[in-house]
Amino acid sequence: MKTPSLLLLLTLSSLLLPGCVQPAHDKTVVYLLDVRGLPNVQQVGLRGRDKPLSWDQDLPLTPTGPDSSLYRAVITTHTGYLVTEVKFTVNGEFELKEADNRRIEFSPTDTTVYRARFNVR
Amino acid sequence: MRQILQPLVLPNWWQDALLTIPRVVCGYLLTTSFGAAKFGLPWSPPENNLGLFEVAFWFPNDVAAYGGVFALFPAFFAWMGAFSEAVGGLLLLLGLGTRLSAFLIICTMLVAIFMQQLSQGMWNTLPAAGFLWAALPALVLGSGRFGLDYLLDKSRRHENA
Repeated sequence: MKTPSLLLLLTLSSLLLPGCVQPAHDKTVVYLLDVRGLPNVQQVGLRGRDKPLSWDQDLPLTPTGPDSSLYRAVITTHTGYLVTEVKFTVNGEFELKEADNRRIEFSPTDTTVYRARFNVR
Repeated sequence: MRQILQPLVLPNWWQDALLTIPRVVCGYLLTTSFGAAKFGLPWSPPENNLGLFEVAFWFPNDVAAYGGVFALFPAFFAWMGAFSEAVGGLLLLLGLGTRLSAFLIICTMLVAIFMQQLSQGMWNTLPAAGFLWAALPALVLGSGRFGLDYLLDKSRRHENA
């Protein structure tokens, strides 16, 4: 291939290939976690695969009311995937140890509500 | 072009067979796992929601973080890198356009090693380095006896004879 043709091909590729990037959208998940029956709950957190979550650091859930055993977090992720993976933590300890992560399918609309009990699939 | 496609055949069949192993393993892993997760192929994981030949939404951002020319054309380099792994891996597995696919894979792995993984320590470079070393014999020898390039070259020779 001659150099001008190669340059033309590279230029066209660099202009056209950005169109071949998977579209991504903001997806919001409302996580509701029931920690009823767990002793001495100090901190409830969420860890996961997709930003702003990570597997290294808790994103805190807050109680829905005073003395409530129901905790809540609203997370918005910019993603092209249909599914995300998470696990909850209580006092920094993971649930479902040695088991698969929770897989949350995003709703086709913007917001998904996910209800769970700690350590119960 | 013919020189690029024509495989070098080693004196004994078992020598070609031995070098086929890293080529096939490398190609299989790249096209079914590493590449298919970020580049849309019919066997990409359905939950990744990738259209055919689409690169995953997050990959251009990762590539842009390398800086320099990668930050200027992140989608181009991301697409090329993902294509090299997914389609290049398939071609390497089949031994079709073997040298070209090995070249693309080696370039991609060099970028992965030096722009992404080396800063996280030498151990982190091992997966990409493994693919690079596995593709290197294919870059020199082509498919050898065990690949489509060999069959195509053989039939071309019969036509010209």
